[in-house]
Amino acid sequence: MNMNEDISSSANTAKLDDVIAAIGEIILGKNNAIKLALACLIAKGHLLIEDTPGVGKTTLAHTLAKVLGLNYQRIQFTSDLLPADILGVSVYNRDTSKFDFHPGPVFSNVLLADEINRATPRTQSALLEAMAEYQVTVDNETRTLPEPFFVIATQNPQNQIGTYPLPESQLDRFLMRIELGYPDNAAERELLNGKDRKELLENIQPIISGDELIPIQKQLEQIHAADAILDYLQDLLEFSRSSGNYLHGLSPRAGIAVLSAAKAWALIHSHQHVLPEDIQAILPSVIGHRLQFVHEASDKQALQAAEHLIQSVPIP
Amino acid sequence: MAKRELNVKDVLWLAIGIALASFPHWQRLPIWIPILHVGLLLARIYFPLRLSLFWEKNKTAINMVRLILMFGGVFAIYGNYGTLAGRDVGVALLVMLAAFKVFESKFKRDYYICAYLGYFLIITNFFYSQTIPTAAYMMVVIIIMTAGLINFNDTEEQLTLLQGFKLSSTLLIQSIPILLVLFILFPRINGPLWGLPKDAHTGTTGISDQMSPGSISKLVQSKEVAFRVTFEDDIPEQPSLYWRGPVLWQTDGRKWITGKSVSDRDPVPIEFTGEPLRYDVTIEPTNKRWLFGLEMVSIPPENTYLTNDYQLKTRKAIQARKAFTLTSHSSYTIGTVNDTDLKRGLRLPELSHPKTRELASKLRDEFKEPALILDAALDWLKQENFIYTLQPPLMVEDMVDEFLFDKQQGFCEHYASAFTILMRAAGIPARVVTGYQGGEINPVGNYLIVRQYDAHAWTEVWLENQGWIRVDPTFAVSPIRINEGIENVIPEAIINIPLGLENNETAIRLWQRLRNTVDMVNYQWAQWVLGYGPERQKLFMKKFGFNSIDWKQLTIALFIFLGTIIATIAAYVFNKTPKSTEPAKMYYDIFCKKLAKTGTPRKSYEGPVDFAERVSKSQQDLKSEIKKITDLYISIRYYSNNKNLLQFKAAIKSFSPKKITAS
Repeated sequence: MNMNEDISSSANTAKLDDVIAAIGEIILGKNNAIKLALACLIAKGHLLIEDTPGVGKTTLAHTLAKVLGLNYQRIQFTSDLLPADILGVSVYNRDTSKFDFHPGPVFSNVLLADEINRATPRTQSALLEAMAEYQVTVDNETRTLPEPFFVIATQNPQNQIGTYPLPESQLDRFLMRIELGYPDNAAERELLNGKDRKELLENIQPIISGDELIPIQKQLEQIHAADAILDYLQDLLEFSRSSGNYLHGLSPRAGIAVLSAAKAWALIHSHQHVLPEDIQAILPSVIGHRLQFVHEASDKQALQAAEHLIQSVPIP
Repeated sequence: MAKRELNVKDVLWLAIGIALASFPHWQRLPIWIPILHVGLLLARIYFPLRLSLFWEKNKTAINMVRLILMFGGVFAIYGNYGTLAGRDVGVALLVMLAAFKVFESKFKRDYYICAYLGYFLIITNFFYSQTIPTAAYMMVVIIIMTAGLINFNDTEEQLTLLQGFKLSSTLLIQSIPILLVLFILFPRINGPLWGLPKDAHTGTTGISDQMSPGSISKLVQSKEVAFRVTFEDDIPEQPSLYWRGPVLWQTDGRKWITGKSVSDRDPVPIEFTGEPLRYDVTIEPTNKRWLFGLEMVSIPPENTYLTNDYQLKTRKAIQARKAFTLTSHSSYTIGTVNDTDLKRGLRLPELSHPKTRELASKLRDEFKEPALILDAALDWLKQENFIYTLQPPLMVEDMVDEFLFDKQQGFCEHYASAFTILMRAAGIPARVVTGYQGGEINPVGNYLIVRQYDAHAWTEVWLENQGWIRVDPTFAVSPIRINEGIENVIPEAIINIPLGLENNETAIRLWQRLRNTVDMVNYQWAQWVLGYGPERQKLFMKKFGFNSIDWKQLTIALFIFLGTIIATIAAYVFNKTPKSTEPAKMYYDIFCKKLAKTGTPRKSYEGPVDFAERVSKSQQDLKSEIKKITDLYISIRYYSNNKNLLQFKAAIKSFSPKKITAS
């Protein structure tokens, strides 16, 4: 590493701190969730925010997009939403006698998919290609999405009325699933006393631009994951597969997801190397939606499965 | 893997080790061997590169030269000693060939062979000297040799010179428990475990089985220790310390010898009165069979016997320092004796000592009774102007007559000899007894040191109703010799005060005290280390309640103890060394163990930062130290910064949290 890179990397981490602080002004008392969301985006992953209505899911998604200076589109998912409403449509142009493509909201840096589980599986799966391939195929024509591209989706817990649970393959596309939970006492009081969140959100200024985000993402490659960390990660994966406690073991993709999320977490905390603590910090969010106990029906138990995994595997 | 070739540093270590191991031998060897030895070592150090290049090119020629040189050396040694067997020649060969081996060393294998040779050379020093300084020197050489081996195997140069020595010393110290068990429990047999070559016991001084003018006065010039005595109770008075040795019956007028042996028969009946006196005698090797006990030994120790003239003899010549437990009675009456002995006690060389015979018959005519004659003779000695001296004038013709009536100067052997002859001439059976008289008390260890200069000779005469009684003519002439010891009669030979301090009393006192302390340490060493034979072993075992333990049981005990020690060490090592093969993790686990003892164990899934944070909360005083160790660990383990490993290790070693008893 040379001096210039060193300076720019420390400048970047300083900026990340500013980002976290700025978001924290709007989403009160949820520092951990904010950091996780940010780590997810730095690791180029899509984010699923799940919680009951009214705890600030959408606000968090908006704030994230705004603070990072990304152009964003929002779609409110409903049961009658069609794929074309997301991807765009080709309309016949009489002047040119051709079909013109009118890009949908997916052609943006950030797609805010509100209440994603209210849409039908057909519409949900339209997002699939976009999320995985960073491209969209409409009318036999493939179009590349802008860079960076994230989907930040929110959803209500599955047991609420009028929801279509996301298929497993789609859940796997999300790097993280985070929960916000209720604010604590002090945060709640501040929330009640303070200004309207919508107003604050309107006035918030981007801390960094979308162009600046890409070098930060690149910086992830320089975060060192020592053999000891890889050993630990492999032990975790191995235990999830062979212990018999879980329905399915973690996939190799999940392993990669854990590592890149851990690197992003390390970057946010400005160390140059991944620590076991970094892995443990992001693990519940990264594997929570991928790992289930054998005898578990309740989705709420998912977090405990991740905790269980952490506590079962010694750090080598 | 490619063969590991020795570099200059390796050779230097080897050469130093071998040279130091053989250094004590140099003085004992023909001068050319040490010179060749050092020459070969230096050659190997100074021309390593050129030599090895040269080597490759002329392998056959070099091998021939080496062979010739080696055989030349062996022949030269043969020429020097006239044999190729024995201790001295063996050592000479070993010293020479070890240097040859170093000279030709090229690869790893050679290094190990040389190292083993070095260790063997160290052992051979014990063939010559078994003193504490020798042992200490050998320990030092062992540490150096081992440090060399450590350096040789430390290919990544992780250890400094000092650390290498430290590790080597630690290894030596760690071997102490096993050393002790082997030493204490290894079944002892009488005599040395293996026979030392014949030439190992030359040049011992001491009282012999004959006495001629000058033989004892020559001994008196030696300050060597003859034996040391520890008394169970108080040390008896100086004048009663007669240490009985060879009894001499037969004379030609000059020289006294024991005469035809009557020794192996049962001793004549003897009656003891008074309290027994028990004491331990640790005798220096004499290569003879006499053991010196206080007159008169009543219970001979194991493996010794009393002859009928009350000499205490061992069954084998005393070739190593040995300890015996003796019992004596100071008042005794030797009962009847057969006529042959009395006749032997009267025998005189024919036609000799006319003047002495004349004096004898004069005394006999005058006093008649043997007891009165004896007193009269002693009185006569006192009245005449006899002088007690180490340098008597030359007496050539009739030694006894010349001494008694002409020169009147002599040492104890003159007095004993002349007085015995006078008694015999007067018709009283008499014999000469040699041995030691007196001894020096070591106040530091509260024991008695009897040196060669305490050698003495006296007379025993036979009186009806009293048996053989001791008469010391020297006492009649020079009572000081008996009452206060020889140091006070002839002091110039005895105490060596360092030059320039002769007149400083404090210095003299300090010097004596130092001398006494050194002697006491030597005595303990002799008694408990060198003298640890079957008897001592039995005695030692008794202290632990094993009253009769034979060698089989000892062997079993030995294996049980060794097994326990090794198992304990193994358990400790396995427990302390975690399964991890990574050193950083290993030391980190030690760190965690140390903290676990304070009541804050690390959970297996707890990361280092989390753990440090949690522990620091309960152990505020250790906060900075814990942080430093954790940071180092992270840098090594998770940032692959192995340069910090030594620092990390040191930090862990010096980390010592106070134990908190569970509350």
